[in-house]
Amino acid sequence: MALLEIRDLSVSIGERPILRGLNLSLEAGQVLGVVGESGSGKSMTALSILGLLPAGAQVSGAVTFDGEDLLVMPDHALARLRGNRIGMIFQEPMTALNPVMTIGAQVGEVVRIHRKASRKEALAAARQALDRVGLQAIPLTRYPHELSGGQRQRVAIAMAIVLTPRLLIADEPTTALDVTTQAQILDLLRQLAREDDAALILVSHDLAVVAEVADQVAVMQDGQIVEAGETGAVFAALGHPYTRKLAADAERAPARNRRPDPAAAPVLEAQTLTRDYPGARRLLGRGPAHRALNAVSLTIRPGEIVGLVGESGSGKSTLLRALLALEPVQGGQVRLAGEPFTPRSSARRRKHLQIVFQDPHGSLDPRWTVERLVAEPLHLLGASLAERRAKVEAVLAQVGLPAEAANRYPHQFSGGQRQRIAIARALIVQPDVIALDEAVSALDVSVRAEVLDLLARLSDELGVAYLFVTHDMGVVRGLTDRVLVLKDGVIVEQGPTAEVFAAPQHPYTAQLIAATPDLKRALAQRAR
Amino acid sequence: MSRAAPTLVIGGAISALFVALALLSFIWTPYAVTDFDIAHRLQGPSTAHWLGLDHFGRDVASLILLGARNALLVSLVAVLLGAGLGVPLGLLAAARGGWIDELVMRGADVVFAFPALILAILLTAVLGPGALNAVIAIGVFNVPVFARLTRGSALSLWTRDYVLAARAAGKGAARISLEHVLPGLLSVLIVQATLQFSLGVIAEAGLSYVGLGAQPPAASWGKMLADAQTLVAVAPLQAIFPGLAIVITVLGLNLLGDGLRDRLDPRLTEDR
Amino acid sequence: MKLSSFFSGLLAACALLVAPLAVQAQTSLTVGLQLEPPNLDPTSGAAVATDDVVYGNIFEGLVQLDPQGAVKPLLATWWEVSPDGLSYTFHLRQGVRFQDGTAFDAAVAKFSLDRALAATSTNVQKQALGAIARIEAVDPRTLRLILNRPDGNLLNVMALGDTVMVSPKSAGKLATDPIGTGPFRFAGWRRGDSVTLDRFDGYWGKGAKLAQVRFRFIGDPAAAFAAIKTREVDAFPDYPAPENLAQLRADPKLKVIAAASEGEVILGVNNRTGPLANVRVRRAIQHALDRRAIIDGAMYGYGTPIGSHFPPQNAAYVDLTGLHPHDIAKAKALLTEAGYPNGLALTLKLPPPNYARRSGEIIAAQLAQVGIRVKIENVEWAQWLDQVFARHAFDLTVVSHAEPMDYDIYDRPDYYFGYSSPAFHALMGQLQAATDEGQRAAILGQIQRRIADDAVNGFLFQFPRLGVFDARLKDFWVNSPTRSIDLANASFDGAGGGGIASGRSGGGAIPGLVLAIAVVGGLAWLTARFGAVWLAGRAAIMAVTLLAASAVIFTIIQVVPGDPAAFMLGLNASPEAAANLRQQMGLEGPAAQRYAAWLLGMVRGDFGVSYTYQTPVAGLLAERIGVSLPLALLAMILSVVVGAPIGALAAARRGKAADTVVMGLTQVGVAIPNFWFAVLLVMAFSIGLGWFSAGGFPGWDAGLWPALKALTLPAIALAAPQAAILARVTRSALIDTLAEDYMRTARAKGLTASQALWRHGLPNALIPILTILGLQFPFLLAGGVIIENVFFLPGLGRLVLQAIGQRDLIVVQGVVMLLVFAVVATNFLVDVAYRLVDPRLSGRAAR
Repeated sequence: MALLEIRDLSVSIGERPILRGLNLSLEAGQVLGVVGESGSGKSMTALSILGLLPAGAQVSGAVTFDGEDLLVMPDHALARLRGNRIGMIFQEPMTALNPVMTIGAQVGEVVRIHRKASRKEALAAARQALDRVGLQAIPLTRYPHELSGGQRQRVAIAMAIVLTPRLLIADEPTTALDVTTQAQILDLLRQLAREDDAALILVSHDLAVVAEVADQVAVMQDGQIVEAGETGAVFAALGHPYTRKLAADAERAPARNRRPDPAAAPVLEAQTLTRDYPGARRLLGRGPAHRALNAVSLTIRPGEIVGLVGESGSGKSTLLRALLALEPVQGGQVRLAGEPFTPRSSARRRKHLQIVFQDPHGSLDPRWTVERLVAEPLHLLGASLAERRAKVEAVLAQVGLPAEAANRYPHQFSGGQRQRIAIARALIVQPDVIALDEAVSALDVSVRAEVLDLLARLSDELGVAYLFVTHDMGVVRGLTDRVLVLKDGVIVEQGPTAEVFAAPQHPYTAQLIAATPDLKRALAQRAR
Repeated sequence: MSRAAPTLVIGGAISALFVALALLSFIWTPYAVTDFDIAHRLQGPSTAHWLGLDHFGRDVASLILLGARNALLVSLVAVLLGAGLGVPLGLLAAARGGWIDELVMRGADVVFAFPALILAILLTAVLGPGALNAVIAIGVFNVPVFARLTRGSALSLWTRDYVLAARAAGKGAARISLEHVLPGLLSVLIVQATLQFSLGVIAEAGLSYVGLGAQPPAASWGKMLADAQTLVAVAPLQAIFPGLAIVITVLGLNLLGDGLRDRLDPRLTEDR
Repeated sequence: MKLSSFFSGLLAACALLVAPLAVQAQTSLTVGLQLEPPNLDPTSGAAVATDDVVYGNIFEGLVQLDPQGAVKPLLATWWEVSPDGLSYTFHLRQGVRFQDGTAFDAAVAKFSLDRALAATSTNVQKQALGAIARIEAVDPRTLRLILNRPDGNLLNVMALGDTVMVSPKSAGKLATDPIGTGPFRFAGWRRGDSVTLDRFDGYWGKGAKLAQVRFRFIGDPAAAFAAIKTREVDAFPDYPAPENLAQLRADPKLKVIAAASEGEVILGVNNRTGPLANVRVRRAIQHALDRRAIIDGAMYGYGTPIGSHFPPQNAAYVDLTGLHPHDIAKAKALLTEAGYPNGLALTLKLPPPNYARRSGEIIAAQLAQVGIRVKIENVEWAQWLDQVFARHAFDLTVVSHAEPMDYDIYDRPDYYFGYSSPAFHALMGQLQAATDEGQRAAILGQIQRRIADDAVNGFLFQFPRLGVFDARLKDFWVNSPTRSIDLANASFDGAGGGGIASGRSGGGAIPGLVLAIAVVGGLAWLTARFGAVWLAGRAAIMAVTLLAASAVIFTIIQVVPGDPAAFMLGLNASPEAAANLRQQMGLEGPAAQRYAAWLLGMVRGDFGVSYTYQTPVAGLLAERIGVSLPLALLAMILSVVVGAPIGALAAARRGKAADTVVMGLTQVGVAIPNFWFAVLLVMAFSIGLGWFSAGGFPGWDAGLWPALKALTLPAIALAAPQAAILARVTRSALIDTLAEDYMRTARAKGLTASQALWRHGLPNALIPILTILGLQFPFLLAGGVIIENVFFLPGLGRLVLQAIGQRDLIVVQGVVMLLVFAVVATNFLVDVAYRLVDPRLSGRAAR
C-alpha cells in the first residue's frame, strides 16, 4: 500500500473552505509535485499532513501515513512523527532558523528529541547531516545569521533529513533563492530522497520546477486537485484547461509591433557609474569601502525594452537608485534626456523617468485613494487640480482599470490590479523611460502574463522605454530587446536578448540560463 | 481581534467618563470645596456626601472631580508638549539622518539617562511647585519618548517602496514626511499618547504627593493621598478613594491604549 | 490557582521574618525627632534639631534654665554680678572633664566664649553676647566677664546651646564629632536615619541611667505614627501628627502629653507695601480669621488661641483674642472702608510643616469668604528663608515663632514682616529700663496690646508641644524654654520593650574591594569576549553621556533659588555670619571654575563636602546606596521572579481564561501608583497585622535578617507595578516569537508546543525582556524616592529630597550624577546581555 494516502481531505477556517475533498497517494521513493497559484491550498495540504494547521481549522477526511491516520492522532503522538519519520522544509530560509541557537544545536535538537541521544551524539549526527547537504566547510558553532540564504536552506534540509524520514515535505523550498542556488537545492533534495528511498512532496508555484523534479504531479486550484498523474503524461496532454493555461502563461512571450530605432539618441544613459558604500564604522575612522558598482555603462533608446539581470547582491538595486538619482555616485554620470541627472537636479526632470516596484502592496500608501496615488507625480507637470481627475481616469483606462477605481483604496484591489495602479502612476507624467524593479516577480503566473501583455501594449502604444530589472531569465527572454547581465557590480555581458540566450559569451550568463527552470526543456529531457 | 473589542470598549468608557467628570468640574461640583466643615471632618460616606468628608470637612466627591480636572489638564498638556516637540524632532531625524539624527538621538539618550522622577523634583524645586511646572517636568520626559518612537517608526516607513515612489515622483523630504510618514505614524502615536497620558496621571499624582504638583486650593489626587496618609489608621477611606480614582483612570487609559493598538497597529491587524 | 499558592508561600515566608525580638531589661532609649540636625555643633547655626540632640546630653553650658525659665547652676556652681551690672564672676565646678579627656577650667571656658565672639565666628548669638567687652580667667576655677553695658538678658543667653563649653582640642570638628562635658558621648550618626549617644562614664555628675540613646529622624507624620505605634521609637517629644493623638491616647502603653510651648503660630503679614500697609486691611484679615476652626482643622484641637505675640502661660499674658473677633461682615466693611470693596488678591507662602500647610489652606478659605483671594505657594524652608525672611517677597505666610520672649522682633523694622512703630519702640525702651517685675508686666501688657491693635500679624494660636511616650518612661524632661531634650535622668520602669540595634555605620572597605575586583575582572572578561575596540567605544559613549548630563545638572543647580548659608544659620543669623559661611562652603567664584573643580573632584572620587552635614558627599552616597541599591535589587528580583513566570504562563495559555484573568490583574497592577500600594501595605501589614515595622532601616550591621525584613515591604511596593509590566512584556514578547517562522520549524522538528515555547520562544523573547529590565532598574533605584519617604528609609531618594529642601546642592549634584551613572551603567550591562543573548550582535557579521 501507499506510504501516504490522503482521502477526501477537507479543511476550513471559520466559514471559509481551504481544501475541498482532496485525494492523493504517494509511494516511497517517489517525488510528488504539488503545483498551483497562491491561494490554491497547496501549502495547507502540506501543513495538514503534519497536523500544523492554524488554530481553529476544521479538518475532515483521512491522512494515512504508514497505515496510521494522522488526523485522529493526538498531538504528542504526531510530535513523535514530525522530524523523525516526516521531515519538513519551509519557504523562508532567512527566518525559519532560530537566530540565537547554533546550527549544530538546531540540527542536533532533532536527534536529541527523538533518539534520547547525548549532546555529543546529537552533534555528531548533526555534523553528518550537514556534510550530506554540502556544508562540510561550515562549523557546527555557526549561527544562522553568519550563513547565506542558500546555506541556511541547506541547514533546514539537514534538520529535515537528519533522522532519514520516510516522507519529506518541501513547501516552496527555493522560491526565496537565486536561480543558481535553486538548481543546487532541487538537485540536493532529489538526490537525498533517492538515497534514503524517501517520498518527497514538493510544493511549488513554478510549473517548470515541478516538471524537472517530480515523478507525479498534482495541479491545484481553489482547494481542489484539478488534475493529477504522472508528470510527463500530465504535461504532454495538458488535459485540464487550467493546466493548459498555466503552462501557456509560464511561457508567455508578449507580442510587440513597434521596434525601437537603434540610431535614436538615448533617453537614459549611464557612463562608467561607480558607487561605493562606506565601510563599517570603527572606533577611529571606517573600514574599507564596499564597491557596489564598478564602471557600469548602459544606454536606453526611446521605446526600447532593456533587461537587467542579476542575482541578489549583484548591485541591481544600487544601479537603479543611481539611475533614479536618489543617491549620489562616486564616479561617472547619469544622463537623462541628454542632460546630466544627479540628486541635485531639478525635481521636474523626474517626469522623464518613473519607476514601478516589485511589491504592489508595499509601493502604494495604504492610506491614500487610488486617485491621489496615481496623481502623486502630477505636480511635476504643474497640472491643476481640475485636470487631475481627468488625467487619472485617462491613465487608469490605459492600464485597463475602470474610472471608479480612482475612489477606492489599494487594499480593495488584487495584486495584479495594484500593479496596474503602480504602472498608471508611472505613466501619468508620460515618461520616456519606466524602470521596472522586479515588477512581476511577486505575481502569480497568470497575473504575471497579463501584466507583461499590458507592458508590451503600452510600449507599442506610447513608445515608452523600459528598464526591466529582474532575476527571472524567463521573463527577460519573453519581453526584452536587449539584456545586460550584472554580477558583483560589473556588467559581464550585454547584447540583443535572442543572441545572448542563444549563445551566451560569459560563463556566468550560461550558468544562469542553464539554471533557470524551463518547462519545454524539462519536458524534452523527460521525453528522452 | 475579537478580544480587542471589550478592552477598547471598557477602556474607552472609563476614559470618556474621566474626561467627562473633569469637564463637568468646570461647571458643577456637588459642593464647593471652599466650604470647610471642620466640625464634621472625616465623616464617612452618606447620602449627602457620597464619598464622605475629608480632614477639613470638604466633600471628597467634589475633590475627586476637581482632581480629575487637574490630572486631565496636567497629563494632557504634558503629552501635547512632548508630542509637539518630540514628533517633529523624530521626523526631522528620520528624514535628514546624519549628524541631525545623531544629535537628536544622543539628546534623547541624555534625557533618558536622568532618573525622571528626581529630575522632575529638581525642576519643580527650581521652577517652584505648581501645576504648570509639573506639566513641564512631565512633558520634558515625553519629548524623547515621542522623538524616539517617531524616528524609529519613520525610519521603517522611509524604507517602504511607496516613499521611494514619492521620491521618484520628485517630492521633497519635508513633503514626504508630512504626506506619507506622519499619517503612517498616526496610529502608533495615538497609542503612545494614550499610554503617556496614563503615565502622566501617575507622575502627576507622585509629584503632588511629595507636594510639588498642583497647589491648594486646586485639588489633586496625589495631594489628597498625601493628606490622607497620616489618617490611614483613623480614616482609611481617605486614602482609598483618591487611590482608586488614580487606579481606575490609569487602568482605563491603558486599556484604551491597548485596545487602540489592537485596532490600529497594522502589524497586528495584518498578521493575526 | 498557582498564583494564590505562590502568595500564601510568600506570606508564610514573611511570617517567619517577624519572630519576636528577645525581651530584655531596657536600658536604651529611642527618641523620635521630626528634623535631623544638619550638624552637631550647637555653637554654629541655629538648627533647633541640633540642640534637641546634643544640648544637655553631650554639651553643657555654665548655667541652665529650669522648666519655669529660672537660671540654675550647671558648670558654674555659683556666680556674682557686680552692682553696676558690668562684671559677672562665675565660679566653676571642679572635676569636670570633657569626653576627650581635657579637663574643664577657666581657660577652657574663656576659649569657648572667645570662640563665639571671634570675628570669623558663625555663632548665631554673637550679637546677643555683644555686651561682653573682655573675658578673664582669674584663676582655674574663676571666670570673669567684663561688660561694656549692663545686659539683663546675658544669663539667659549663657543658658543657650550656642554658649556651651567646648574643648579646645575638639572644637574644630564639633559638626561631625561633638565633644562636650555632658552625661552622654557621641557614638555614631547614620545620616538620614539616626544619631546614637552612649553613656559617658567619666561624667562629673550622677551619671545617666540609660546606657544608650538613639535619636531617630522621622519627618513624615505618617511614618511617625507608625514608628510610635509599633514602638520603633520609645518617645516622640514633638509629635508631628495631632490627627492621631486621640488614637494614641487610647493605647495604655503610651502616654500623650500636650504641653504649652513658647511658640506662637502667626499669619505673617508683610506690613511694608500695598494694601497690607493699610491697618484696616490687616484688621479685616484679623476679623476674617476663625481661630477655633484653624486650631481644629490644622491641629485637631490642640493649641490655644492667641490675640497677640505672647505665650498664654506667661504671667504677663493678656488675653486679646476678643479684640478682633471672627466677624465676616466687619471684615468686609473694613475692606470697603480701606478702598477694596471688591476684595483683593494676595499670595500666601507656606513652609513645609503640617501646621503651616494646613493652617494656610484653612486661612485661604476663610479669607476667600471676605473677598480676599489667596494664592497659596508651598515653599521649602530654604526658599522660605530666601524669599520671605531675607527678601521679603511675600504678602502672607504662616510660621511658628519658637524663641521665648521674642517680642523684640517687632522692634526691628528690617524684620521680615516689616513692622515699624515709634510707639512700640518707646515701649521697648521703657521695658529695658524697667527693673520692677510688676512694672515690667504692665509694659509687657502694653506691648501685647500695641501689636494686637496694629494687627501686625494674624495671631493664630500657641503652638502645642505634643509628646508621645512609652508609658514606662520616666524623668524624661523636655526643657521647654531652651528646647532641649534632657535625658540625664530618664529611665524605664521595669523590663521589656524592644532592643535597639546600634553602632556606627562603616565597614564599607571589604564590599568596596570585592566590587573593585569584580569590576576589573568583568572588564577583562568583556575585553576578551567582545574586543577592546567595542569596549572603548562603549566607554566613550558612556563618558559623553555622563559629561552632557553633568553639564545639565550643574546648570539646573545654578538656577535653584535659595541660599544654603541662610538656611543653615536660621532665622536670627547675622548677615556677617552668613557671609562667613558662604566663604567656608565655597559658594563663591565663577560657575565655570566651580564646574571644572566639581568634575575633577568626581574623577578622583571626591564629590565635595555636604553643606549641611559637613562630611564628604562620597561618604553620604556610599552610606545611602547601601540602602537604595539592595532595595532596588530586591525589588528587581521580586519583579522578575513574580512577573516573568506569570507572563510566560499567560502566553502559554493565550486566549484561555487564565490568560484573561492574569492579564486583567496585571493591567490593574500597572495602574497602581507604587506609593499608594505602599500605603496600603502599611495599612495591612504594619498597622493591621503588625507583621512588619512600618518603616525605618536598622542598618546592615544589625544583621542581614532585620535589614532584609525592613526592606521587604518597600521592595514589594516597588516591585508590584514593575512585576505587572514585566509580566505583560514577557507575554507579548513570547507571543511575538510564537508567530515567528522558526517556531513552526521547531514544531515540524517534533517539539511539542510547550517545548517549542521554552526552548525556542523564551531565548528569543529575552531580548525585549532585557530591554524592560534595563529600563526598570534605574527606575527602581531612583523611583524609590517616594517609597523611601513612605517607609522612612535612609536611601538616596530621601537624601536628595532632603538635600533639595535644604539647598544642599552639592549633595543633589552628587546623587543625580550617581543615578545617571547607574542608568548609563545599566544600559551598558543590558548591552552586554544583549550580546550574550543575541549572537547576531556580537562580532562576526553576516557573510
